[in-house]
Amino acid sequence: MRKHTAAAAGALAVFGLALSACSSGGGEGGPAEGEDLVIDGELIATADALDAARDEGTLVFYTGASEVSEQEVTDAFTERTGIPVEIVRLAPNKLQERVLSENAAGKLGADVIRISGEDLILALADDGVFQPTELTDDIAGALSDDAAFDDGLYYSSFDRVYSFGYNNQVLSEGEAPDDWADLTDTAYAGKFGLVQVGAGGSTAALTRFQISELGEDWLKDIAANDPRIFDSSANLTDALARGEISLGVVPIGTAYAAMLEGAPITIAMPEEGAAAYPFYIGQSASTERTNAATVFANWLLSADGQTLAASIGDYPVNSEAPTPTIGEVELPAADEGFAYRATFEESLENLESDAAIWAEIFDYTG
Amino acid sequence: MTVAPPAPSETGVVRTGRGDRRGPAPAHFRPRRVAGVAALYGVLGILILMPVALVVISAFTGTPPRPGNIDLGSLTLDNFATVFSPGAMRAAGNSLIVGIGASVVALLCGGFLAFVTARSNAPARRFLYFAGLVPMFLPSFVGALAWGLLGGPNAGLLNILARDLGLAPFFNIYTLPGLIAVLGIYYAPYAFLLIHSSFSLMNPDLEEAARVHGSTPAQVLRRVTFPLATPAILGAAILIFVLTVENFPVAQMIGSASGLDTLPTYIYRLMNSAPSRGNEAAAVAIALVVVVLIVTAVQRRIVSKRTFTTVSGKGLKLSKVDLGWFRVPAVVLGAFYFVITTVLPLLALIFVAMHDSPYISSVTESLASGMLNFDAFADVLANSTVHSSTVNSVIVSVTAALLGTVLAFIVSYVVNRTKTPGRAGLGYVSMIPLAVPAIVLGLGLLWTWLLIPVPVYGTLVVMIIAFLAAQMPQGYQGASSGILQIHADLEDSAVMHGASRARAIWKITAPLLRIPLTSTFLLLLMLSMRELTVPLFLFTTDTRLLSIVIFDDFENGILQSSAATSVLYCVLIFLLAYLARRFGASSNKAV
Repeated sequence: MRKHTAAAAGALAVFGLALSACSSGGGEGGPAEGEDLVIDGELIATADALDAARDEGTLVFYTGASEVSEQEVTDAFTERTGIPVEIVRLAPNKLQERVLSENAAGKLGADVIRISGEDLILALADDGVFQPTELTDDIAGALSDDAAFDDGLYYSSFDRVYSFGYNNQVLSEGEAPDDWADLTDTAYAGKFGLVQVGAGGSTAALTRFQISELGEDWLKDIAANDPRIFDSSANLTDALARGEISLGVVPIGTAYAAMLEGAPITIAMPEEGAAAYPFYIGQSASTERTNAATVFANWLLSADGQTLAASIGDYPVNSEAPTPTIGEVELPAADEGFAYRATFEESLENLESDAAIWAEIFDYTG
Repeated sequence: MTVAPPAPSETGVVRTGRGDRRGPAPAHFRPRRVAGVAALYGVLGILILMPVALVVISAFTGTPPRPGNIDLGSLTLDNFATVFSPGAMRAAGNSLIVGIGASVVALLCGGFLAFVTARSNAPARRFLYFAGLVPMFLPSFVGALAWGLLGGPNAGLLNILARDLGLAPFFNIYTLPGLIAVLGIYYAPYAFLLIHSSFSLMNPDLEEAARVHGSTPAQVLRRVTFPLATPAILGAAILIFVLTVENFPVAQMIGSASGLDTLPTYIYRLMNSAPSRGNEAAAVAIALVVVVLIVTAVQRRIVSKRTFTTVSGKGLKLSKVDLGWFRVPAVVLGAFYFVITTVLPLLALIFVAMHDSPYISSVTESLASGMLNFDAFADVLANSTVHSSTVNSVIVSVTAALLGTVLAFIVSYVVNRTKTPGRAGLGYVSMIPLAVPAIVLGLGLLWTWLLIPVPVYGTLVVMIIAFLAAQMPQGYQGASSGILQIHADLEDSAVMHGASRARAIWKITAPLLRIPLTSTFLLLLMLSMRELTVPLFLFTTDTRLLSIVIFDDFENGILQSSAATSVLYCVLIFLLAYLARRFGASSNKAV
């Protein structure tokens, strides 16, 4: 059994250290005018590109990842570059509809979009939402082979891991479950929360993992325990933090960002593993801030940006970035089999049938 | 969508009919008037008919009506299979229970307060009147947010407090009765206002007659007073039924946590599933509209049949009913209503916003050990999104209320004061949004303004347009009741003395309408400030309103910030309401 706990207070210090260690690219607002943006030896933007980016004003970032974790990311980016970022956060399913509608009207507000879900990113790409983003040689060289799609039209920006967690002020360590198998215990009836299958790539990946690794019967046992079904993991994480539910499925990055804000959550590292799902990024075809969008995308994929992702428990796509940690706890390395990944094609193939199975088991309509 | 102007032959007999002996108007005049009506049809057509039409069209096609995506070639009834799916049927059943239940709760609360304040000798009646009215200024979704914080089965503040005091947790708001109660108490002011005016306007002769003939006070109440108020009670019941069945945010915040779908939340979920199931959402929306239309038709029949019997022109003083031993309990009950609608929710929002961590293990301990601070309020006050959304809310509400009042006045004037052919249709079109739930109208408005090649989507203009459409019925009713109060002779005599019609309206009718139009403006302002559902599909990054920011924070699990912003929002609404009183139109509260 590999159960680790992470105390939020200690974690905060480590996270702070990680942040300050990362910020070797210059002081507040990044390098002076006329200087390249180089962090940890990686060229992220040339002086010209950076200066042009800075003249473009506030970058608008549409994202399906949790607002709390994205706030950390954009704060760090602004600190390094002086480029302000505005976040528009919507659950991936809503985000996709929003982007498609705005794009069809020629009114897409986003400069950069980050979203999970293979079907969702594909629909956006098919709709002509993106334009290719050019990476610097340093960053392109360090990127994992399978992270670029459609010749750089969009990229996988990290793999978030979907596990479960519990409120450590409601459940003691002894009462808490260690593994997925423990969750079916009737002692947790009415106390467990999960997110509806259609919320985005996250829940699709989790359901794929559960059906393939834990079996449909496991899902049925969970359903028999009268779980509360949430619309998004952000919503669930908040209810977990407040103790409204005692335990629930949580993306590690989302839960950990909440823990840094003081949420009394303990994340489980179940023996059976956990579902990993990529968040994709691309810059919009209609952006008027091409320079800023390119700098942002490059930084997100750089060792620096990826180290930050790893420090909140996301698996990086840059080979220079470390194995993810949450606080003092290091997650198993990518090749250790803890994180269950379906391929892009597998995900698309099983999407509808998995959703139908899930909806039937949980008697969920919609 | 444009409506063809009536053929000239139809207009040949147009006369103003108010002593105008000039015969048929000069040829250059009539086309202009008809063109004016046609223009109004054009405006209302784009504002109201086109969104509704798009919802109807998309219910019968297979592709969501995004620009370049309208496909009339493949009409289908497949979407209606969703209407009869078990999920939709369950949602419809819940909607029905919620609508009926909430109407009963609202009538009990509002009717009781109306009776006590209008017709009893209870002490502190001014306070009770205030208590009955004040939830009107608290948006129901803020109430739902607060009651979610108070009444959660595990982490609800009331249950935590009970644990602090050594009691077992006793309360769960995330249930069907919880949803009914929250909707009921926040829609009670509608019942309160309608029934209060009925009790106050009653003809005292009838009660007097009953007393003279030996009825006891209880018999008078049972046999005369309450039967006389029946139309108002029924009217309020059906209005509240429609409003609560249409309500989206409360059902979403309270109901979805317990797996309870109502039709509006079901539509919302269909819209937000990936890929979006907008066509099925439209089909379910039509089902919802049909239900609402049936109920509205019933209301019109019942109310129009009976209204005349209640109101008398005589201004005799009504006698007060002696409550006896019940005087004090009546005030206590009223105060209890005030506490559960206003005091507790606001305290809960403030407490949660001030708590230093999202997890609250003990209310008493948190209070004793000073775990409270103003950081969340400071964050919200310093937050640029909150700043811009506050500005957006005020700009949109004030502009929409202003334009809405003007448009409503023009339409109402044409309908009530002219004989231009086709004018009656304008009145009906104006009332359509009342029957179309906000969530459906929002959907149609989104599709409309994505399709129309005018670049307003993504600007505040589209919000203003949406609010104009959504609040047209209230504006039209407000303006009409004002116009009908003023006899046409006043304006006509100005015309006979040589003033142009426009000048007569400007100098005579408009000044006389100052008070009703001001109160129409204020009603629209309040409705706009509180509105969440209509802009839900329309907002973009730069055009978020305060209500949207609160709902987004709630959906994104940033409850502390949501609570802090809600408090700010309530303060802003109370402030606007206070300014409204200062303008002196508070005596004319339309519903």
